[in-house]
Amino acid sequence: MEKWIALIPAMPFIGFLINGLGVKKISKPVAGAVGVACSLAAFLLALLVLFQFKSEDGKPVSTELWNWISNPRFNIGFSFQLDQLTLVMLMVVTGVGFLIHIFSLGYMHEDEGFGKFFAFLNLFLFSMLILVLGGNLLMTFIGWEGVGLCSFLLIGFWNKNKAYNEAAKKAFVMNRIGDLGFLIGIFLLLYRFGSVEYSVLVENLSLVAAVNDPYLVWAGFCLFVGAMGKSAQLPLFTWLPDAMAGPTPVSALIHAATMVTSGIYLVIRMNALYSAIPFVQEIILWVGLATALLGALIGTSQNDIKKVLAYSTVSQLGFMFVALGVGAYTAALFHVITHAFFKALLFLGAGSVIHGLHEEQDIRNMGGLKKYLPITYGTFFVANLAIAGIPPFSGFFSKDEILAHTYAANKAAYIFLAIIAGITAFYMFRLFFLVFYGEYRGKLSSGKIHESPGSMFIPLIILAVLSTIGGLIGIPPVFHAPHLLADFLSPVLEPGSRLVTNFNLGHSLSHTDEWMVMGISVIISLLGIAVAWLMYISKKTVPSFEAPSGILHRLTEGKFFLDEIYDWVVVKPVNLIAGLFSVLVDLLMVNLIVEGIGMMSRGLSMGLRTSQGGRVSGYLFIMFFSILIFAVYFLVSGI
Amino acid sequence: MNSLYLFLFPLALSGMAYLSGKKAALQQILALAGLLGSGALLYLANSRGLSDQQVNYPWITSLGIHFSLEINGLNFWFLALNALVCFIALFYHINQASKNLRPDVVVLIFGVQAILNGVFMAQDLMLFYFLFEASILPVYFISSRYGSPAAERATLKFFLYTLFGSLFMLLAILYLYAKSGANDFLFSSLFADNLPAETQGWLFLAFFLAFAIKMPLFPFHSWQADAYAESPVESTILMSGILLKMGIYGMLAIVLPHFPQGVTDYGHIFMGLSAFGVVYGALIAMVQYDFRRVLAFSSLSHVGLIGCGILAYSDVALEGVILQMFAHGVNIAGLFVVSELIASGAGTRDLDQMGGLSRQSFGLTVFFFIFLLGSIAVPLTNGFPGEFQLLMGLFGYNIYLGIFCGLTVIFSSVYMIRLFQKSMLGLETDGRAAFPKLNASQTFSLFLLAALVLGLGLYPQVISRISNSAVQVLLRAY
Repeated sequence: MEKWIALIPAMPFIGFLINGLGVKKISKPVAGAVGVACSLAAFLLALLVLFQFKSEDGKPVSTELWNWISNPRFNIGFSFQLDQLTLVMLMVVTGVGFLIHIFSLGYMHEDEGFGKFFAFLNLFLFSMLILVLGGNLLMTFIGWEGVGLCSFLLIGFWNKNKAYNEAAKKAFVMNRIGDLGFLIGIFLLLYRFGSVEYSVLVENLSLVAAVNDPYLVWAGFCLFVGAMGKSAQLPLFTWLPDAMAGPTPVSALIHAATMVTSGIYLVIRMNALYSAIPFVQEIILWVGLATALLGALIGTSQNDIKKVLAYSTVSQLGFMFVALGVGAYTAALFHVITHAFFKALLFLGAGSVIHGLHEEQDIRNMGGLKKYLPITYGTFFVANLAIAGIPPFSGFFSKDEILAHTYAANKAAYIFLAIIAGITAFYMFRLFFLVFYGEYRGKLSSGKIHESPGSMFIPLIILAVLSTIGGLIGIPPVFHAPHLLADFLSPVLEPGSRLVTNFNLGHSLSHTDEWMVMGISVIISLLGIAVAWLMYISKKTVPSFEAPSGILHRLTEGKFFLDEIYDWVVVKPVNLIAGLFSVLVDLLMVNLIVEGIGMMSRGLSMGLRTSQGGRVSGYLFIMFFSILIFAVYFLVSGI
Repeated sequence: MNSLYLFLFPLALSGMAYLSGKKAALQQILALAGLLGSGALLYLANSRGLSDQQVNYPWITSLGIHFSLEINGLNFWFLALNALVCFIALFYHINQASKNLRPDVVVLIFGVQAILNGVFMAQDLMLFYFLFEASILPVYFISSRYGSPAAERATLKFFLYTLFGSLFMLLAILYLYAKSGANDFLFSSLFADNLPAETQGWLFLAFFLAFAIKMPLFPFHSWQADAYAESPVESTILMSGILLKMGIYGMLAIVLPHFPQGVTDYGHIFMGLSAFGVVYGALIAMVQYDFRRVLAFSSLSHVGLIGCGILAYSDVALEGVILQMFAHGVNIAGLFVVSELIASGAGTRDLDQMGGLSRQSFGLTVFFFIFLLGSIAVPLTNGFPGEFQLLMGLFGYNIYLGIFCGLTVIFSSVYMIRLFQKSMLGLETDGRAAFPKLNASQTFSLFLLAALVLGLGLYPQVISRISNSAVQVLLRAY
């Protein structure tokens, strides 16, 4: 079984090599076939490994290919590890990844960079697989930086456009800020435990005797900073909306379903650490909550179809971090899974709309698309019900689990979160109504609007099915059915939950509370949808093109001006300092001191110099060779 | 004996290059022979046991100066890098100037290789000093004969600056000689006993200054940007790729093991300064518009990190020093070659006048990007294992210093991506750029470097296995 593990990431890497090296020579159909085949191969291998793993005893399988970095203090292996958490991520990554590869066949068909696109997409899949398969923190870090790099390449895919390039750079740099945190977290753990191999870490962490050991608090916090960058949490989230510059399948795969959930994966992976540091969990809870709120608020007044979805992703990731913050790791992973289904579906649906409308992205220029794009409409509706949390669609189960755990742990946070869930339903249906209902407001003649080809709508249908039934893997305990995901995942979470029990930090929820939470969340979601209905169907409101009035609206429409604030607080000062260093310090101070000393001696030697004439280089040339000759002479005579 | 061969071999090639004149094909064969021959000598030396390779001849007997060379775990990778970088410079020159080949440049580059091999292998302090001084001359000749007037001025500044620094080293060497009472300058005699703590301080300063100027570390870097930017690219490749490694080598071979008290007393000051240089160089690189100046300041930043790592007397950081030393040589040589190919294609080095070049040359874009990844230390490139261990060592030495230097993780991505985007991406500028396709020899040398970027990132053990024990010995004194 070990031998299969390394093959999984190898598959997309082969695809990357073929399409990357042959980018000029390979025709579009071949490039597409290679890209899709390699992602399919990874998916099939992952399935194979899943079944083999189930038939064995369920213990983590690990394999070290070679010793990667060695040092008197530690050895870090190039190692892979496979356990239940990895398997779940593998299925999501390769499964959704494969569907999005297929979708891209149609979506990117006209693009001149077709082969390049599939090469990058495969490289991304490779990095993401390394991330989830890595057997130690540094292996995960390889994938971590790798996906950031691919994100950079794919955001700036249409690199003639300067704004897109800026967005790509912003994403990479913001991710690197997080990566520095990740690295420092690795340093701390490596100094403390002498290894960052997950198995060793878990073993050591389960012996932790005290809650909130300051050393571990810092380590956990630094790793979380890394997660903030990758998973777009406050304050490092502003890159994600800009990342929508990339082709839409990229937004679906990287910026919704997989890469941005790496931060959640990391925290779940380190659950033994976080369970021992409730202080950091508290931080995670509030950061997640604030991000969820901010993303949802901004989402209510964006008019670019992809931007709405981007802020919704930010907000949903916030939900997942809230779950992590209250120690509900299963709920977080559950939401990762369902979110991967319905958000990928939403993005692909958006892609289908954009494709059908010939690159139109502004929802003010849409409307009434229901009759032109029936399949897109139907699947989009399913995804909307899922994200709004309407039973029995998948999002209901995962979101409800998060809400229930939050209720048990922290009532104040719960109230906020429930309200955010309502806002979510509102802005998603605002989008939905504005795009698909009412009259068409755009300029295209109706004959030109077309439904997408099969390669595009088949993935939509599959994802719609998954978004509908995906919730069944995590049925709440009140229904007395097995929670499949929780049962499957329990070995991974066991070290953390043991600590929680030891430290007596657990929460519990009665059945009546659970029913109440469930009821409230459904009511709130329906309320959100109803408001959207009133505004955009009954009153037929269309967002105006003019700048909004009203403080809250202006704030949300302007994205709380965070970009501007960062620009003034960070970017401009750094550039100013750089400019000062460059001109004032380097040229005028450091250089002039040296030149001054040089000038003095030059004045002294002026007399000597004039008597000689000639170029300095000529003399040195002669000097050099005469010295060389002497040297050789001495050497020879010496022997 | 291999140490002697390693010194004489490039000299012999130098002579043959002189005789070959303007025949590009012959010169190319010589360049390849230089790389393969040096590689073979090093490989054999390693497989036969490094300790058997030393030679020791009396040289200037009246003064007790010996011609004493050895190959050891410490200098091994410096020697390998030397062969590689000189090869890259040679190949670039022969290929680029094939119609207008200048045999003296080839002769001089082989000269550099021989001299630097001597510097790295010397076990006699006077021999070390002599070669350390001589090493700059060939580069100076290349710059002054074939560079612009600005190049000559810049290299002269470099020359005088390092000469100035070395003067103190010479004084220190003479002092050590007088002090030891031995009749020779061999390392083993001069450093036979532990030096008294009170003299270690100024001995440290004297040697440190010479090496810090060569590397250069902040604030001794003011020769660097001009020299890198104005010189013919062959000189720039040599200066950035291998000449500065003499400073690193000197720190490791002389300063660290023999003046521990000096390092303890003064090291932290210079650590602070070069840590400042890490961020300072990175920030300045962010606002440069000359392609080569961006690289020059990035080099200041990277080498500053190496300097910090040396002085931190941390076993973790020292492993990183060797890895990063080699990685820096590979990456910066690759980047300067790329920069020159771009500049000659675009007809300018001004970043604001470039754009969209990636659509003209696929190969060049890929190579550029690989070197970029190595330079910003993305995992699985050669830059990562070194930078990781350096930062980790520094972090262990002092948390705040480690985090401060860690800013390079962020800033390096800013300036390198800016460099890449401004030159390779965006819109083409007025169709001035016309890239010929990379020819076979260009592809070959860039491929060699790129393979090292990725190979050493995947398996850095190749380096650390040989250098490991030698490096750890350096910390014995602490």
